[in-house]
Amino acid sequence: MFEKVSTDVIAELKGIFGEKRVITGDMIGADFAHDELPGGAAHMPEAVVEAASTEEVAALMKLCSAAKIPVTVRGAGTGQAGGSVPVEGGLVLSLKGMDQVVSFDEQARLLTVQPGVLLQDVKAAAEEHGLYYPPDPGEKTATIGGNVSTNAAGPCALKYGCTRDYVQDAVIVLSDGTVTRLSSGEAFASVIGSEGTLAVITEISLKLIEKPAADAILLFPFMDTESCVKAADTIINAGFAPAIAEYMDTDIVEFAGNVTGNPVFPIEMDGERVAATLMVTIEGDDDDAVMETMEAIAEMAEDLECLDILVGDTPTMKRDFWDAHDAFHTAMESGAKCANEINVTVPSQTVAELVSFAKDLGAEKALKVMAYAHVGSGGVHIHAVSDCAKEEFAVAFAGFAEAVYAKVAELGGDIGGEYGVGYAKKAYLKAALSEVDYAKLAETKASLDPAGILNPGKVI
Amino acid sequence: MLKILVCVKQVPDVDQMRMDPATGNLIRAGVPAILNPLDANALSAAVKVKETYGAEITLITMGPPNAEAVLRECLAVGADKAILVSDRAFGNADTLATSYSIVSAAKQAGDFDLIFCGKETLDGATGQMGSQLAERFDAAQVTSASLIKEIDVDNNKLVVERELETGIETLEVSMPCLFTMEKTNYPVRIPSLKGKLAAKKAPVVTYTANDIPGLDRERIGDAGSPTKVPRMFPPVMPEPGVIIDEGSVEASVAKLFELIKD
Repeated sequence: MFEKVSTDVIAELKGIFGEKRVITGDMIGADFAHDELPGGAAHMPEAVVEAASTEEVAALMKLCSAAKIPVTVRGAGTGQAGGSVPVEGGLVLSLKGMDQVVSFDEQARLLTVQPGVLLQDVKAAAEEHGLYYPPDPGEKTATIGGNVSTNAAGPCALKYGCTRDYVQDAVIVLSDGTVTRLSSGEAFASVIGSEGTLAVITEISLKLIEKPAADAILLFPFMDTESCVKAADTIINAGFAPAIAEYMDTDIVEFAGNVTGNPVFPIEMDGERVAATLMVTIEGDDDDAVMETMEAIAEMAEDLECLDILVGDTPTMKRDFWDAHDAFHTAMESGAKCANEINVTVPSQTVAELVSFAKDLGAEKALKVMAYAHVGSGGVHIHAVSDCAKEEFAVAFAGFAEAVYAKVAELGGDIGGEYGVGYAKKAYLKAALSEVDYAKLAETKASLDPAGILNPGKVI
Repeated sequence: MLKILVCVKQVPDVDQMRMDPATGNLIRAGVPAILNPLDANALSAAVKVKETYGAEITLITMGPPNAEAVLRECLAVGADKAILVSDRAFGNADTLATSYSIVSAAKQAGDFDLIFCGKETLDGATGQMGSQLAERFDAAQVTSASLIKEIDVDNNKLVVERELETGIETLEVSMPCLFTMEKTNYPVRIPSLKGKLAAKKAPVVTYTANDIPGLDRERIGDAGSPTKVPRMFPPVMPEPGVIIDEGSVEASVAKLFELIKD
């Protein structure tokens, strides 16, 4: 179906990009064969091309389209679903070097960037202008292009939405090399979150907003998971507009805390083990407004059935909370011999059911299963760890993942979650979507990338 | 009941602080003030003693009026009383003048069996205050304390562990006693909302220089400070090295040769 990257094609690429930005053979770094998907297989590209402009990307796509060569777009390679891995070989098109902030329109509060700008630099650029770019999936060294291509969300999606909600317009290059600027319409909507399977995004204009002047984080420990998730919904529905409502399983708090040496969040209260803690961020125009909201929430304490309400409203405390939360992810691989993660989105009211299902299933398969979730937006991170042999773990995890994805479909959720489908979840997508939705995906792919050269082997 | 004094300090959040390279001055604008992190651990140790043996915890700090915020932060996690030593006359104090001022003010509130300090502060990091306070309180001094193991209230003594580079040292000490605390064993306590709301309304006693009878004006503030800071400047940093990571050994070596050739 696809052609190999011939010496003629390499010569043509070098004509466009110059010698140094076309990397072949042993000079290709091993990192280009994988992303951060735990246990992901290595797939080396035949060549890596480092693009510096939209024009170069257009020329490359035109060439590859004619030569039927697969093109896999790559940013920082921090993905967790294998989205930027060249499973069908061909070229990796690295956009990491396209890392310039192009412009800032103060009037419209629009920050225009190249796709290789890191999320942390987008956030810093917004702050330099006294503004705020909210989407934050946690991995701040990911590129903004990667965030757009997976429609990254994260904890604050509850109040602020996903990356999609901040993309005002984008310059895209279609598989035949056509360059177009999109700001609305079906194609625009389809490209965002399409994991590089429909087009290459080469410039993005992001809407920035005012940053809330004051905030505080509240922690609500609970004796059971159901009450924890229910309390989040109660707080959201009461109109407090929390930016974040994060369910945190005590097993994950303890596991990560053992790795970092500082769990921060409660594990026991009055001698009894806490089952889960809800972390809620409230915001206001000033400290008094935040305090007022806290007082109003305090009045609901009995209805919430929490063990206590704890407050982090100092810079140190807030930083400690987020460091401990970030460790849920980073501590996994150092805390156990084998670790893997399932990331999905489910309707908010089913988070507790999914977590409970996953924990029971994990126990059956001798896996330690731990979770945290963004209640409201429904993003759930389920980690499974074990100290068994790697092969044994891989088999157990595959069975575990299949059953969890089936449960997610039953609950009306999305298996793509925040990391996307990539190749890791491709096999489960069809079962998780309705026939109509799956057919629609296939139709969009056929329409925008008829030759199928963009990121083949992913999503569908 | 044991009487405990916890000495705390409001410091700039150095994580958000920058230095003006031209003037060498710290750019404090927009930098939030926080409770000195190690003082939070010292407070945790004091609260643990209170929970175990019963005690009354008094806080003391010296600083501008807005230092009241860190006192309220500490009141929210279990301290009972708070003293703010605040007056322009105390300004520009070095550790010698500060320890004299703090002890002079604290003595207005009575005597203390136990005094807790953080090991050092985030801004000055001299680590001198604990020793000076112990001397002025005429208290036994335990530096690098990591665990208060046992307090024999009736016999006025206690057993404490010190965390040393060579291991753990266990000491029996008589009270009054001052600890400069390590953070081991005493994680920072997260205040409850109830505690926070109560702390908001709790009284904070402010002492100016005039409120402290017998205070020697020559021993406070600038006049009482033999240490002068004539100039501050950022350290000269060596040129940062270059990390060559081209993804593979072959590519990295090729890049190295390229750089050498250039």
